[in-house]
Amino acid sequence: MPISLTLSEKIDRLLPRVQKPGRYTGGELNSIVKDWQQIQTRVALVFPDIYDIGLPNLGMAILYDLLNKRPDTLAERCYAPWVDMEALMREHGIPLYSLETRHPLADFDIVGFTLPYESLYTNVLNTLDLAGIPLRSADRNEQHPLVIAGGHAAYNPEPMHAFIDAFVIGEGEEVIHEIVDVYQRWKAAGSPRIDLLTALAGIPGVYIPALYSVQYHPDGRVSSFTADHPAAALPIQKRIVGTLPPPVTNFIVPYIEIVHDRVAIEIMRGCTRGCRFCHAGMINRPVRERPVAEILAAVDASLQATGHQEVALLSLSSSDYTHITELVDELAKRYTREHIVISLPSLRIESFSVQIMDKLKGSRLGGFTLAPEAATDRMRGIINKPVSTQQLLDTARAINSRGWTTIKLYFMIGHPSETLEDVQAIIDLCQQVYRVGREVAGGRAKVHAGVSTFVPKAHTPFQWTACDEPESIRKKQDMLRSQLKNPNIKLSWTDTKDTQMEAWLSRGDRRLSEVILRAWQSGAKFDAWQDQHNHETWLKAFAEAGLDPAFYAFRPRELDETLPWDHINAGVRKKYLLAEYKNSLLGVFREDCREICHACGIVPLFNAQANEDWFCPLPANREVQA
Amino acid sequence: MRFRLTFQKTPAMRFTGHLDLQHTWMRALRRAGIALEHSQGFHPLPKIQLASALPLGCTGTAEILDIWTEAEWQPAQLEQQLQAVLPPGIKLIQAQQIDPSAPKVQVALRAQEYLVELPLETDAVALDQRVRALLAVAESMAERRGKPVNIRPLIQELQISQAELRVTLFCRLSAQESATGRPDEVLAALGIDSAACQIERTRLIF
Repeated sequence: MPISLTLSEKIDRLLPRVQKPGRYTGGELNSIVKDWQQIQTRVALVFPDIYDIGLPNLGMAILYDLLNKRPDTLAERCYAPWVDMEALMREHGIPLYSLETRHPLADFDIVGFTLPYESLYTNVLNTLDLAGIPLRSADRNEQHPLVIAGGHAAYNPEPMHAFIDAFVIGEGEEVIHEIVDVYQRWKAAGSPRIDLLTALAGIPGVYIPALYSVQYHPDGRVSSFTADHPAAALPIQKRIVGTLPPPVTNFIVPYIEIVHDRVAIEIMRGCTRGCRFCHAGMINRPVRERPVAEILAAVDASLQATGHQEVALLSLSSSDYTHITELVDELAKRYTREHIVISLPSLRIESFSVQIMDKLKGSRLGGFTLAPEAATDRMRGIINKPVSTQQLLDTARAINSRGWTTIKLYFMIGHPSETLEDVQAIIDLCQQVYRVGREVAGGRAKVHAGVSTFVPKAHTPFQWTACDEPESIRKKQDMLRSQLKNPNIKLSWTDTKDTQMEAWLSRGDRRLSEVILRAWQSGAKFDAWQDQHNHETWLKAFAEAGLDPAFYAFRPRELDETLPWDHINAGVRKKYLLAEYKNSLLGVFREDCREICHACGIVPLFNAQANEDWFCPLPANREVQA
Repeated sequence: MRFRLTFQKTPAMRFTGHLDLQHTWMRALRRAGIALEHSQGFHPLPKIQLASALPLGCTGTAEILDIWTEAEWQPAQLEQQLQAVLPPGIKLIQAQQIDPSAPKVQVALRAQEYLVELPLETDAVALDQRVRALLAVAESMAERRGKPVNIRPLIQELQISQAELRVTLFCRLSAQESATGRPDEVLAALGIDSAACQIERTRLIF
């Protein structure tokens, strides 16, 4: 075995001393161990949070599968060690290592980070540091791995620009191969590192921050963004795959319990609803659906390969999948008798969803989740989510009468121009839904209200709006807490400190690299974990960098301002986002774009890749037998 | 039909706990297409019983699992189906059909044997003296969840052996309800850091 025995033995001696050592052993079913010596290009895929959270990540599973299918390439996994393991690794001089062959990360050719959300940024720095790789891209040379990153958070790459050599904007299925090809040619030529970066810049969808520079106004706003190299494209256009490739089925099966012990099959990518707050709905256009036969085959193959008992069908809006009835009928026929649970998140608030779930309910009944997001018609017009109170109550009644007793409702507070009346309406609506439950299901009726806080995101119609201030949010949360005291109505909310950090980083500019670095140097990591209490550390880091956090979180942007992420083309035109922002100010609804095209710009942009799978699908035929 | 499976828990799975091991087996059985009987009631559970929890970090060479299958199987056929789908952490040794009314494995268990590979730096002569000293006393106290436990009566056999440079400790510990010996406690009583050892359970005695 090509294992470095001394490192491996050292690791083995530490493992009995940490909690959940099974996070650090590897060797799981369906993990792929290739012969290190025989492989030309070695890629480490890093999810910068703990194993329990990282393992089920679908994006990483897709890249792992694709890269390992190449005979000339291996991909191994790495997750952030929890603080107990990290302390022991630092104490004993053990570098961060891959799970498959326990090679130090620094020995790989390419280190690729998955960045689904901003609270992982300090963990990226911590991971690089534990691996002994220089934190700053500028400090790396030909001996160091190429450090790349992709994922939803990478659509505004600027805050992390100093640490990542190359960002992938958009979908990774095709571009990952092009990156490996370019890397192999560069390595064979033995050229200097800058040649690798400029060659990568030639790949559509790859953004090399080092090849651009930013100028600022005296007040801190961006004045201009320039490409400093002929190879540097401007704007950098996101990548998509025209047709979704067949889904991954040989999922790695962990030996320990993780957050989602299940098979996940993506049935559709993108969403046509156009909710104005929704980052995923804007950046994942166009809609592309997988054929029913392909999904059924994938469910079957993945259950065979894993033995899992649960299948989650993933999409941003399951009810909108054109062939949902056909798919669900077939899945129900095949699996509900075999103690297999099929879950279908993101269902619309309508009785159709209840009919769909009713077919799948089998022997086990969990809660039924709906996401009204807002509770007044005014606010529904602002965010473009047209669900009436009556529609919600009718749906709740249908859910309760089919045997479910727990209804989970997701709301957001802090939407633009929100008043206390809008919050009061959330309280009233939760109570109304509970009363319907009492009528139909009696004393067993329960409501879970998950009330998160809205954070404006880049590339959405709300990218110009200010984030609601913490004092205002706390007042609204106090209101919710004091009026939703019924023991059968469970309330959960987001800590305002977590919201602020997300707000700084999601619309930050390049100057935030310095803040992230200082925050990490002062001990910030695992920012997604509330028990880590890093807020004061972050405020101190802003002060040291001479920046004002309120500038990023609470400042409404000028409509003609150059936004720090304007050089990234996420597929929807800025003109469209602006029109939608103006519609929100007027409270004007825009229809689902399956009904009518609003010219967001995605079709002309990808005309060359267009095919009938994604070409702005027609309304679904949603007739179903009750 | 009831079957008793004898299997190895290999180093890849030594940090998988009792409950997670049971889940790993249930997934393997589903992959193999071996449907299990389920309990009656509101939350039907598959009928599957592991003989004894193996302390985290230990490997096992002859672990025992009882399963109740829905269909009729030949033991050889069952073995064959399972071999094809087991994860790297489990090696199946054999499957035997047993009497459905035989007592529960957990209840039938009497004792278990461990083989401990000690760190290279172990002084065999000094350790041998400590082993004799431990066996000579009637009481050796350890702590479990804040309560004192006399572990000496749980030790049925304890001896060291040396082959080339490696020193090995053999122990047979009682394994009855509320009287189960733990290898890490025995090692601690001998002044050995169990994290530096490779501990293997070699036999379950019924």
